[in-house]
Amino acid sequence: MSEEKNKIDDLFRSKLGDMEADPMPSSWDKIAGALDEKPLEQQKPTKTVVMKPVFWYAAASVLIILSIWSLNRFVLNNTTQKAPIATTQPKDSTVKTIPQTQKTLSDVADKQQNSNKDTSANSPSAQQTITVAETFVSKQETRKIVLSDGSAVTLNKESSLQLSNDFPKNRTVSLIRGIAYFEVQTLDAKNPFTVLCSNSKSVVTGTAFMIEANKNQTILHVKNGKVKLSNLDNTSSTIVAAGEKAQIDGRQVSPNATITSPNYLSWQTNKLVFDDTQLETVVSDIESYYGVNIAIKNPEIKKCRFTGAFEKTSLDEILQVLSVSFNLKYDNQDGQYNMYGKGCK
Amino acid sequence: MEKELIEKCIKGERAAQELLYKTYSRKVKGICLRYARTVFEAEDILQESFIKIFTNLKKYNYSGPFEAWIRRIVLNTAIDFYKSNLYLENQVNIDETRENELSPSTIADNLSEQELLKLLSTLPDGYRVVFNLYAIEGFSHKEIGELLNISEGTSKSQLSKARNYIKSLLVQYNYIENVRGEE
Repeated sequence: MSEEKNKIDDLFRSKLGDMEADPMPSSWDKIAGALDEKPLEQQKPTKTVVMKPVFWYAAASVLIILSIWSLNRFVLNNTTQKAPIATTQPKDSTVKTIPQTQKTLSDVADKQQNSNKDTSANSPSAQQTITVAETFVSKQETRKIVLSDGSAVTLNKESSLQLSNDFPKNRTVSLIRGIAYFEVQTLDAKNPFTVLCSNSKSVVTGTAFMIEANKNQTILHVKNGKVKLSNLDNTSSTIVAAGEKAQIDGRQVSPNATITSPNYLSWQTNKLVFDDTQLETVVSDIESYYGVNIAIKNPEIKKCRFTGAFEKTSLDEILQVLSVSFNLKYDNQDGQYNMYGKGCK
Repeated sequence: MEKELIEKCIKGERAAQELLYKTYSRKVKGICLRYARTVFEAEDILQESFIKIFTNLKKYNYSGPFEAWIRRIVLNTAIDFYKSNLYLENQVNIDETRENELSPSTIADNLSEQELLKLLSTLPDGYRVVFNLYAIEGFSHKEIGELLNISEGTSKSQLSKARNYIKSLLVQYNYIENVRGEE
């Protein structure tokens, strides 16, 4: 093992090896609750112990059959002596050493439990089913969710969002992947709506915005209000106003820019709007909405300008409209679309 | 003292259990964070670990340090948590994963705990678990193989891929500047 390889190991071991962190305040109550449901495993009487008296009875009966008067008497005594063992066994197995109702230092406890969606405690296998945070996952379809604080989130396909375990007391959600459009219901300076991504934090003082969470990249579009976007170590941040977008790559916050495309929300509105838009942009909007690849085979085509709006239109219809408008042709080769034609001057 | 506390916990005294929890929960959370993808999952692992600790406490036989016993339970819980995901990226030829040389001076040593954790959390589950066990916990590949029920070779290749992955992230985040240019 070369020294260079160990550099990374050393770095992590020295910084994280003895790391400590505070657990969430509600954790102890959940553990205590699970312990109430699932008391310390009692030592069950083992089978051999249970069998013992049976054996003694059997032995006794054999001896009884072989009995001689005096011996018989002795054996009977013997069995009655052993018999109590049989009756003490069940007693052992029901001995409760755990004061189940003992409530102790849990002070903050009850308040939090009310607001939690803690479904775990009443299952016998509580160990497996503790769910702390609620997670929403969308697969093939976009999905609209109304959160318990009244805010609405629309998840694009293939996206997932996780709520903090004490939501809405702590209005923090994690956009684990994908794209989400948020319409925040109430503004509360003490408990701001916050969205965490892999490399960013967005604190909302606005009401409608969209976040795209890529690996180590966050892209924010603000429709209404303001959102403060910062990297996770808070070394860099920007306040993004309505009609603006901003993004973070790694830890780098790039300057705000004006949203030029009206179609950044088309995945949510199902509308594509073009107003004297260059075909290059039209095609790129179509590509991202339909999740396809369209190759423009002649650069002159990009210069064409298109005005029009589509709502819930099929990809083929749109491509046909464009083809007719600019005298183009298109085909689809194994999922890859191609556009041909003379284009515009 | 510790023995007394442990015995009270075994008897089910809630106050003793809470004290034991308070004594070790910060350390346990630290371990959980390294193995988890998110703080929420870390919290899941923490809670599950403590439930196991309390329900199995009578099996502790005082032969080793109590903290090591706890740690072992936490590790097993974390491994179980991600077990179903550990085998996905197994088929790796070790030869393909030869690492780029990285000169010692090129890693920024001002990386914070949080940044390193964030980095760890982006690793695929299999890489992250093996990297933790080997680089931080100090297990051998043989031991990791037994813990995860994988071969020694798989453990090696997972570790190697984990390191490469971390390296590429460090480069991407600009924590390593110009890897090739320096030497």
